[in-house]
Amino acid sequence: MTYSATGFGSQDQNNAKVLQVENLETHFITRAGVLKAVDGVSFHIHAGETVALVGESGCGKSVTALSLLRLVPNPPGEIVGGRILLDGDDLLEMSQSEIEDVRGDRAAMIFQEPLTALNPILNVGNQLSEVILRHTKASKREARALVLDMLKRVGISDPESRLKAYPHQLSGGMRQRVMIAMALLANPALLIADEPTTALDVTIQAQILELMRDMRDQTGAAVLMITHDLGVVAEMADRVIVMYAGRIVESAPVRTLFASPAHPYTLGLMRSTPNLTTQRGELSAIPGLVPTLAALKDMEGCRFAPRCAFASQKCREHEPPLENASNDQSVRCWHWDQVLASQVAV
Amino acid sequence: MKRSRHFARRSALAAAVMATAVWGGAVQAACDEGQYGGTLNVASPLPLVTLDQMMITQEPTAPRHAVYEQLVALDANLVPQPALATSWEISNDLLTWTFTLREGVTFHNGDPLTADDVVASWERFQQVGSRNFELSDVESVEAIDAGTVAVHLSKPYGALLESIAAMSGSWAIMPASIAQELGTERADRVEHVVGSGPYMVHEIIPEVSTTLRRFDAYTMHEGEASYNAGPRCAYFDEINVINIVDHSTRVSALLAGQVDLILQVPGDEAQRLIDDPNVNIVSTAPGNRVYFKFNVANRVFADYPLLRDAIRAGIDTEEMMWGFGPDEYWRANNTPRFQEPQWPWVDQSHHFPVDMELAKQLVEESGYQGEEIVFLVVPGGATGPEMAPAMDQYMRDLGLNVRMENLDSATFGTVRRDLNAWDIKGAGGGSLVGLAYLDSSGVDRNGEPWPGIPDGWYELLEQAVNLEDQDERAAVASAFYDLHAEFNNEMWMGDVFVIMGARSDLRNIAENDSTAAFWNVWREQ
Amino acid sequence: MISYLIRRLLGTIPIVLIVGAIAFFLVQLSPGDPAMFYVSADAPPSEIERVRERLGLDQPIATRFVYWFGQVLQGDLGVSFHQNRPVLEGFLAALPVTLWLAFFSLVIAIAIGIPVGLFSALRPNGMVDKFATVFVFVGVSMPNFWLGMLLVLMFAVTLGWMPAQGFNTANPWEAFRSLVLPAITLGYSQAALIARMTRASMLEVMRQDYVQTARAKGLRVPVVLGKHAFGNALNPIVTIIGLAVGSLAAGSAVVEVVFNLPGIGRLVVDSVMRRDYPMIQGILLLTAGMIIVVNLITDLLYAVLDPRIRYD
Ligand SMILES: Nc1ncnc2c1ncn2[C@@H]1O[C@H](COP(=O)(O)OP(=O)(O)O)[C@@H](O)[C@H]1O
Ligand code: SF4
Ligand SMILES: [Mg+2]
Repeated sequence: MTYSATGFGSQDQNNAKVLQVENLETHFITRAGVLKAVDGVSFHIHAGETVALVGESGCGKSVTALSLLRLVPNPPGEIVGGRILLDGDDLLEMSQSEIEDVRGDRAAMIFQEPLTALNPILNVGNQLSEVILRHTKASKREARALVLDMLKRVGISDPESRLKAYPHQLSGGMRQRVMIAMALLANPALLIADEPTTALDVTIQAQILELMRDMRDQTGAAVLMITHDLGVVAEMADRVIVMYAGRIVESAPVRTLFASPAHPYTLGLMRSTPNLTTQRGELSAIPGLVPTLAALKDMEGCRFAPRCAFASQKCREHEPPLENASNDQSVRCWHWDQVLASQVAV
Repeated sequence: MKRSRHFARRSALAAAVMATAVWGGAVQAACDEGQYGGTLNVASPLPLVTLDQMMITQEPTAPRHAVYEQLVALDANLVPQPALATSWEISNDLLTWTFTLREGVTFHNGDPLTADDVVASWERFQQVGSRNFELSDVESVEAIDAGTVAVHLSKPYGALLESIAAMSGSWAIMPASIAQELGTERADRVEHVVGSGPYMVHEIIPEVSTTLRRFDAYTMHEGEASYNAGPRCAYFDEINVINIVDHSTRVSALLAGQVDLILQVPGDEAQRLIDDPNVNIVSTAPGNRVYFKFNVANRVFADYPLLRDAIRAGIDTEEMMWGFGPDEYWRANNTPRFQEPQWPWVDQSHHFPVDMELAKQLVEESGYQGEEIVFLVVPGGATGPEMAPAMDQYMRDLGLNVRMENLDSATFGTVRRDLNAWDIKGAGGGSLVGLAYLDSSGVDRNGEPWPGIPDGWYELLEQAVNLEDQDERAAVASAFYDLHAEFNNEMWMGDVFVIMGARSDLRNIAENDSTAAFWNVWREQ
Repeated sequence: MISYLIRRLLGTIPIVLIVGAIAFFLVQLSPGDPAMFYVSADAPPSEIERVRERLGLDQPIATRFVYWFGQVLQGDLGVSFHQNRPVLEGFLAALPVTLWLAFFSLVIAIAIGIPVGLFSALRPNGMVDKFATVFVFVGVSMPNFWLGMLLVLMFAVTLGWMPAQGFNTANPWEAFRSLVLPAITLGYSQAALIARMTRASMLEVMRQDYVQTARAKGLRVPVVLGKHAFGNALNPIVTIIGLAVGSLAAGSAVVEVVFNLPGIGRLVVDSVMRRDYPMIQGILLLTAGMIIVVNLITDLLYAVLDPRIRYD
């Protein structure tokens, strides 16, 4: 399956919005003060659509993802505002018990480091079947059958014997397949994958990505794919959301974004896209440092200004709003037109 | 030089002959006054690991005296009274003592008492008896007939009866068969602990408890119940002797009603007993004598004898004694109380005058150069640690360079024998002192006489023992005290009464007996 | 696993023997003469010498050591001076009391320590945690004997609910009642330590990714905590419980004296006081062996609790 086939035009489809996030604000209350890790983030994902969330390390991707399932560690983290609608139900309004029913069932998550994300002292079969036992009325035997089936689907050979294996007895790729199986067992409407390939070898990365694509197509789930690897974005995503310091700075269909990034930060990311030899490298080729969240507290203007080649006085005094550069591309920059123009000039 | 007895008593003094018949009625009356039945739980701080009366000396004595009997038994004045022997006679050369045995006595195993049992017991006692050294002048013990025993001495020994009546490690009488079977083995198992006393052993759980039951075939003694002597009624069916080492736990057990009678309550726990209406304090006089001993053989006090006088001159005995708690439980007293009739009692009026100026002046004159003075604190409650801090402070006030050492009893026992290791130490012992004491105050822990004993010391002792007139003996005693004070190797501080605790429904607990003899105690229903 | 076990058990033998040798010299070179306890205060030196001979103390220490060590190698621990019976017999008579005491103390320590630790880890610095902090602080700093005396005053003397002392073997119920206060006394400080370790370990584990995974699966809080977090937190807790067994052995001396329980602890104290050399040496040897076995069990438990740990 190629990237063009999936969906530049997905926004035009009349699929329902599986996930709609409005003005999400997640803060960390620390000794240093209130850190706004996610600061007014809004986006949505349609069924069958894959949205990539990209940005440098520490920009708030994971916190955003965790916020969606209300998994932000509390204390110190707290979701202080916004709405998260999953098929129209506001997750933030739910009781503890209701949100627990949603987790792993209607919305599931895959984590970055499968070794640490799997419980070392429970065997794979136990960890997988408990999802089914938790969310369905299936018996243990039925759960086991479903698990075996799912293990086969995610490409694990000899699943019977794997059931008894402990995580440390599996290879890295195998573990991530188990994680994926675990996430898909309950057939979720929303799948959140937080850097699912970052911890893996390159060859394994490709296999896992392919598996994820297959699974998405088979299940029709909405996928939020967090990555800082633009290669992954290109292969997987329909749309891309770029985050910087807790805020969305640009959002666009994947082709638009690659063809004409409207935000200086996105532009910087494109130019620093790591090649195969630096596949694990962080997106840090843009000169300067991400401002610490603590430093942002007294920042007035655009958060990217200290590192921005286009920055003007206005940028430093006033923060730009998120505005439409075209009908499917929004950007948070006073000078996005200049940014676009600079690329035309090239 | 081995320790030896420097005196022998005259026959008349010791020839106490009593007729059983005269006392028969009185015995009945004595044992009619209480109520019979029940179990008495007694808690002792020392474990009763064996009941072998011949061997062990550090354990509560009452349970063993309830089981075993001796030829004679001490009364509260430490005077020997008839027990298994009803009478005795001394030959004119003072070398043969002939004892007539009580008739009708049976042992717990049913054997009747005969002279052979006495002889067999003597033979075992010779091998294992902890105090057989006291009877080293006994050459042989002979069965004259079934009811008569002769003790042959190699030289006259006036204190024979006292030594036979010793409270522990003594010549207890057991069936010949048992004595022979045991030999040097310690009598630890129920079937081996066989005597003729008012109680017999029922169960021994080492380190935990020993249970005694009344011996129904017991043959009563005549006379007045006093300490270890006289009638023993055995009111309780069962006696349970429990070992509780910790003082506070022992008191708690009494307050909680788990035990009825506890031995050795330290002064600082007395208040808990006073506060509880269900228990009584039994303060037993004369208690323990506490004193300090100088090392007059070596080191500081041998080099500077005046220093001993300095310490005596300024010491405030009462202040020392306050360490033992409220003054109801002790008496300051600088002289010992010897047993009657050998010695007249000396009461507490005999006090050292306190003169701190003189004390300091004597320190000056002594020539003392500030050498270290090692002060050994005597371990164990109610005999010294309580007054050690005050003593330490007092000697410092005199300008002495004191190092106080607190040792556990096993270490103390070894260190005190090393005359190069200490200068002054605490000491304690029974308040009523017998003849043996006079001898022991003149010797060190190795049995060697202290150097420099004043002339006339032994002569005075010998004289006093053999005088019959009380006034004459008092005069000699007074002379001996003066000599003792002049020599100044010991400073007597006073007597600490031994406090026992008892449930308030117990009756007839002897106030002059700190061993908590229980055979005449009964419970008011 | 089996070969590991055998290797470990064989490895304990030299340790026990070294402990034995150290015990022998520590005990016998410390000042104090055991014979003092079997003679009267005024006994002449000849009598003391006679007793020393009876106790075998007239031999030079090297001879005594060789003899004793040889006997130990043949499984004979000698005869107690004081009890006048084989050391092993005296030890075995005292052992059940101490084992029961340790067992109940451990049950109390675990039954209190782990929940307290769990609940205080749930909300660090919350109300429960603050109470738990006080609980732990008091438990760690309050001397055993003092707590014991307070409990006796309260529940034995004043209320009369429990016996003040002793081990009543009349029937199992009485025996159990005899151990309630001592077990609480002994268990409390261990409960405090276990609570502290449980809290720390749980806080550590709850930060782990797999706990987040478990929550992301929608598992209920008790399952997340009990199955996923606690299982992983158990390792250091097992370690501290293993150590607790050692501390119980040490602490039981005080508690057994205060409550007058005829166990190993009181036997040690009494035996040291009266310089019962064979008994002290025997107890040291046997308890060293027991502690080593407890350590071995602890190590084996690690493997049971965590499949990543294998001994082969
Ligand atoms: N447990 C936490 N405590 C305090 N701050 C946190 C915590 N987790 C995340 N943050 C803050 O939130 C910011 C975003 O983190 P995250 O979402 O993990 O970044 P990333 O985009 O790399 O996934 C970080 O810069 C960090 O300062
Ligand atoms: S607003 Fe200004 S500083 Fe911010 S990204 Fe745009 S040009 Fe750069
Ligand atoms: Mg992240």
